Amino acid sequence: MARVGGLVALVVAAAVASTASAEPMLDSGLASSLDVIVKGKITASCRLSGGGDIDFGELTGGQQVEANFGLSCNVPFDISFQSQSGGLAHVTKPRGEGPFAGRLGYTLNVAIPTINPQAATLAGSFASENLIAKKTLSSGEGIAQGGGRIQIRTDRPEGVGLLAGEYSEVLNITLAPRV
Amino acid sequence: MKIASILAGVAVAALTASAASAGTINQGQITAPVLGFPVTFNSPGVVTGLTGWSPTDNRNNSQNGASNYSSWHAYGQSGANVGSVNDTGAATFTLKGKVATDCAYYTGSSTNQTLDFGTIGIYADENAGPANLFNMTQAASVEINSNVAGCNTANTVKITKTDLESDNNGGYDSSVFTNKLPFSVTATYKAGALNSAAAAQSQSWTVASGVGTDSKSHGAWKSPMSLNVNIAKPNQALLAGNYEGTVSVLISAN
Repeated sequence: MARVGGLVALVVAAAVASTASAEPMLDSGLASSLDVIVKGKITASCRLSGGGDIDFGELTGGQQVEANFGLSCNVPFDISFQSQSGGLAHVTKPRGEGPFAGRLGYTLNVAIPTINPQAATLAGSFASENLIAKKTLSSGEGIAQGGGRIQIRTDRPEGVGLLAGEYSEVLNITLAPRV
Repeated sequence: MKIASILAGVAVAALTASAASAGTINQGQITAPVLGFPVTFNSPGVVTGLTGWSPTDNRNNSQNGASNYSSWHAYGQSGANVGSVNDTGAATFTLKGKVATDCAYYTGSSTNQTLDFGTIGIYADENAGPANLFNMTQAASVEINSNVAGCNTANTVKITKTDLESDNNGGYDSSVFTNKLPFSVTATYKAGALNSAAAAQSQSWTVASGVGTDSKSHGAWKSPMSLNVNIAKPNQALLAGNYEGTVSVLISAN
């Protein structure tokens, strides 16, 4: 009779124990919160597009041409300009012949709208002979608003005039993000 | 094992996006039923020590309020780049132009000019002696100057002339008289050699009496130009009449 009583008590105890494990887990007085830090990264993307041929026709000097180019950059950037010949150069006799010059210089004016966060314009003016060594404009803290424009104005021919023939020049524009 | 401490664990496990990926988030934790402590796994994870429990299982469990196992799960993604990102770019403008060939010799309103010596003096006095009678008294000359001559490309200067000749057709003793007055032309101007970019030097060359034409080639040049016409006294007496000859200069691009 005593053994039977003991066995019953164990079962009850087990039942109590399992009930204890189902107690509510919230402890009143403790606040709970959830802070989630969300991070991401946007890759710097800088893109330059455009270019092509600009034909002045008969070179008389004092001619002006404007061209737009595509520019997008979501970080501050440097944009560089470099001339291959320092001006429109005679294709076979860039040094000229006799008193006739073989190169016609020009002035390059650049205007690029930026956001910093106010709207601003990144501008520069260069003589073509100074562009043989690359020249760079920096946007500071600004990013590109979109697009850019160059204006090329040819000088008056030096000396007695220009040597007859074909003239050519290559102007390279390069873009690099500044991170 | 209170919920409060589990939530504090979630705050510490911050969500970050991998810079290299397009941004898929698939991570969480579960208090493993066997291990008794939270097991963390990240997408698309292999769970250490919890075989058979995938991120998908954990995500589903985290939405199951009747589950026997506590878990949280975060799932999401950001869009990938549309188009390729670039760190640099370049644009090239090619400028072109041309200069037309132009050669010039300024002669005013006409390319033909007449230079009249008027009277070509002869010894008309019988007292001049038989050797001199009817002979030309002295040489005649004329200098023709133009201050604009040249060409902006390689060129050739060509001088052509015809001797002065009398229009008298009455016949004459050719052993005594001549009906021609030959002359020489000397051209002087500043030009350089072909294909030379050096400073030009003064050129002076002569088309001699009796020679009909001669030419010289140069690189581009531009300078004043003079043509010196020199009519020497012939040895013979001069036939009467009107004498006429020509000198022409042609500067043409090669």
